[in-house]
Amino acid sequence: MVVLARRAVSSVIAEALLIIVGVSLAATLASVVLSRVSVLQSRLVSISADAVQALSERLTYVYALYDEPNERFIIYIKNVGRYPVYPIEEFTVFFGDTSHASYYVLSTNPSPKCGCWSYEEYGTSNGVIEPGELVAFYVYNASVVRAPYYFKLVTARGSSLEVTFAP
Amino acid sequence: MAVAPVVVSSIFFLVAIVLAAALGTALIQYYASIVRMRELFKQEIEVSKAVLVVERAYLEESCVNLVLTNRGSSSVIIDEHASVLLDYYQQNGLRKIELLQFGASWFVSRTLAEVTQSPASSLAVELKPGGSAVIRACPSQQMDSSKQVTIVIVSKLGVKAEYVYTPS
Repeated sequence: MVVLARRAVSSVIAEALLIIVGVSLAATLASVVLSRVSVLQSRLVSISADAVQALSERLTYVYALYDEPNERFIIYIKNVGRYPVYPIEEFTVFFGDTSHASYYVLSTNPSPKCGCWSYEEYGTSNGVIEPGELVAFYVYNASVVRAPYYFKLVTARGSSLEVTFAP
Repeated sequence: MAVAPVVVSSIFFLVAIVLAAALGTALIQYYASIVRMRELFKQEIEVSKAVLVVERAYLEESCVNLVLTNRGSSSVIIDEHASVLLDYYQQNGLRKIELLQFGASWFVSRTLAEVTQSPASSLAVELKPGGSAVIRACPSQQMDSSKQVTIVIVSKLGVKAEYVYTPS
């Protein structure tokens, strides 16, 4: 009787141990796999969202000229996409001619030959190019450039617009 | 000994369901992104099929009238979302670049069988392939008609036409 009772107890303990081991194994596996899946999911979503966002940013060149009295180039860009493009403050601008282009910095107080750029929104001035909105980029060249001129704009999300013009 | 396998397999089954749900969500989001991308590409192709050509321009009551024809194979909408830019010289010799306002300083009217409808101030015009319209652009300052005038029109989706001419 004592032997039978001991066997019954040991089988209960063994089953309990098995359950504990099984549950902890399942929990470990689940946490590992779920974390991997969540990483994969977030990467997939962010890659596709970035791709869609970059494709959604559709800026087009409208017109460009040299504004002689103010010693600056004016390049008009329009958002022809369905989504707003922002923030303009984080845009990267390169300007020059077809043989050499330099990086230009954004300035809130530009002056001739500063090697900088500023902008003016023909719509709501909020640093966002809304769909359909036109923006004038004022480029103050620091060095002498010869036509045809080259202007490149890279948005904060990485889509770019390149223009070669000779007004 | 019968309970342990049932409990363990149930847990594994639940984990599998959660995993499948997570993967399914990711795949659905990915698919939605691909659909959006396809729409954007489609729009890009549609825009590239439209070609706006300026046939001629003429001055009328200090406004420039521009006869536009869609020579492409898809429609172009000319409405308030289009931009009209005028680059001209004022009579005092100063150059002026002006973004005109729809319904206030630029108007569009359809041309049907060489007859232009009266200028509409707030109506959109759909230029079907082969269709023509007249854009009436009125500068804020009196322009020097002996000097070159440049007019640029860009539709909401980016179909552009540019015309340079000297009124007299």
